[in-house]
Amino acid sequence: MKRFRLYLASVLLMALMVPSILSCTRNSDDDYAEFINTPRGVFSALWTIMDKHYCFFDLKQKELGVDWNAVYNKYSVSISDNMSSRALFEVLCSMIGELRDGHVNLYSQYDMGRNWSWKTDYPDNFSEDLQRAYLGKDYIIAGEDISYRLFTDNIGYLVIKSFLGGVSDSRFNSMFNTLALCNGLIIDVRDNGGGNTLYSDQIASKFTEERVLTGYSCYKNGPGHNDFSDLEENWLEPDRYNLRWVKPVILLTNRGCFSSTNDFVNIMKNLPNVTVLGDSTGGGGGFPFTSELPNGWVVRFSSAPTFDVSKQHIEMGIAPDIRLDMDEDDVKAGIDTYIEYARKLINDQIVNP
Amino acid sequence: MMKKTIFLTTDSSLCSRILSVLFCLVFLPALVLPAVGQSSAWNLPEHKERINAFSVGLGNTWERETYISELSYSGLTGSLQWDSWKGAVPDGKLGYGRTHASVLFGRPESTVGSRILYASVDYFYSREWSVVHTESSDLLLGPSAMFKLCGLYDMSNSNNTATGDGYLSLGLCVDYIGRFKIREYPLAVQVNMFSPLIGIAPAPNYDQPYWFVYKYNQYASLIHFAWAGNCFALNGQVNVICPVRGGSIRVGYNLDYLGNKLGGHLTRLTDTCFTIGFVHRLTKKNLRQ
Repeated sequence: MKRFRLYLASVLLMALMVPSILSCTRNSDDDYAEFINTPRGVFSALWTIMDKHYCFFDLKQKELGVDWNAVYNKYSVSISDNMSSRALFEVLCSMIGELRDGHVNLYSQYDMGRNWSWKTDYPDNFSEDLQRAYLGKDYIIAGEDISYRLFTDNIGYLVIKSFLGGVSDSRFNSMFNTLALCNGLIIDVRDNGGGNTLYSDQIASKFTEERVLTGYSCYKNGPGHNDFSDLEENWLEPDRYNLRWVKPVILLTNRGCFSSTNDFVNIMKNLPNVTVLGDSTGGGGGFPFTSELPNGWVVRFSSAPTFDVSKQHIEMGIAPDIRLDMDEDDVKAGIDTYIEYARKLINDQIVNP
Repeated sequence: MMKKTIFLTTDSSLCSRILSVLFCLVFLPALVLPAVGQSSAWNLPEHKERINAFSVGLGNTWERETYISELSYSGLTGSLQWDSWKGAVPDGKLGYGRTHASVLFGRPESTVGSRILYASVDYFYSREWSVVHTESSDLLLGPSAMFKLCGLYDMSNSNNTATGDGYLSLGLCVDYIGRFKIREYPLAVQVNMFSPLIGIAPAPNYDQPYWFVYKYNQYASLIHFAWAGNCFALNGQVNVICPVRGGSIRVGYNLDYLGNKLGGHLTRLTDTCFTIGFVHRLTKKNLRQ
């Protein structure tokens, strides 16, 4: 009798375990394929990771004519199993370079593969020497890569070289106190390649009195090129615990404004007291993810796109309110066309309205 | 078009084999081992009695994840483990209290040389009834409440550098105890399995970044309904109990498996540990029942 109960229990248990066993054995599809460490395996892994997770294929097809399947065919013929590692790296860099996305990089022991044509194919509109000359020697440091000074015509000049470092509220409060009597503020983010959006958001929150809709974000929720989550609204909240700047702001931009600086410009452009002056930004409107290839190389790519208030991509850059190019004669004469134009704008707006 | 090795065949085969071996280990000894007297290495606890077993283990972690990239990791694992059996109230249904808790930690390395940090904690509590009781064996079976949480820290894949896996589930627990003797030396084989059947489990949705969850309060989207079809887990142990002066030593093998396809990603975590510890039988009149 007891043996019978034992058998009965075992049959019952096996019946309970059937779904579990099935769950382990039914995955005959190739959704989760492991790529092998050969040139073709690495190539396939890179192409597939991008195919499943990169978020701008439709945009790149529309703007640049990039067909990712055609890209596979184009570069696949260059792959052979006896090619050198360096040759493979070059082919893979060329492949991902088709996307012309600053957030798409391939990291190897040789180099960081990139395509920076979104910046290098355009005028610099920036001179670091001139910026240094305008800042002078007695500028004040308000944070990592953040400096400012007061111009003689009562205009503040704030340089943010990157958003990599933390933002000190107390130093910003001190800066706003120092510049309190100024007619306006010029914020120079030219050639700022980005950093952390938390810091750029934190700085932007000091320039608004109200809650402002600044754009939308979503993420990929499936492997298809158009598999995206619902758009989430991005709101800028005013910094209620620190001093805020409500006077005119001229934001200087060029093609070197990328990633979180692009986000910063997108946010600031929605504020009524801010005028964006200069060239279009370089873009970089996708939140980057990283992944590994079978040979240990690391690939970085855009995964979660950001949109402006009109639900348009900001990946290809943000147009300024006032388009301006640096004058070469000005540069030779030690004059920064952007800064001088911004000073004139503020003086025209405040001093001589 | 692409040259690939499909690991699932191997993996599913491994899974089936593990299950088969565990079933055999549970049931076959009961049929073939000769009956011996009750003066054996391990008996079920009596009323107001508790048996505690503590073990330390060393083994291997094998992790297979498809979060962005499809990579396998393996490496050394350490574990601490506690098992407890509490005696049944006479004539009580589901009287035996059974507890299992363990901590696992490892730093497995991927096939491409990168490393991840891995740690897990689990706690299972079951109420079991005696399905079979003979001189040579006991078989206990009962429902179980299970909690498991694994933390993975991976700097190389995605911006979700730290991610979690696990479940909060109701499931099933099986305990088998086989008693036998080698010459006059009593030994016991103890086999145990926990497997969740239904519950909830955390997982980000495909490429959902955690900053997105934080920024837009999407915490609820991390919680998934889990059942054995989309989240299969198994904790199995095989221990040999050897009585020594003042108690017993247990030497065992522990297998911990978690596989799920939640959020559009496949994750498989397998930990195996060889363990050694001691068993302490506690009898107290004031032991709460």
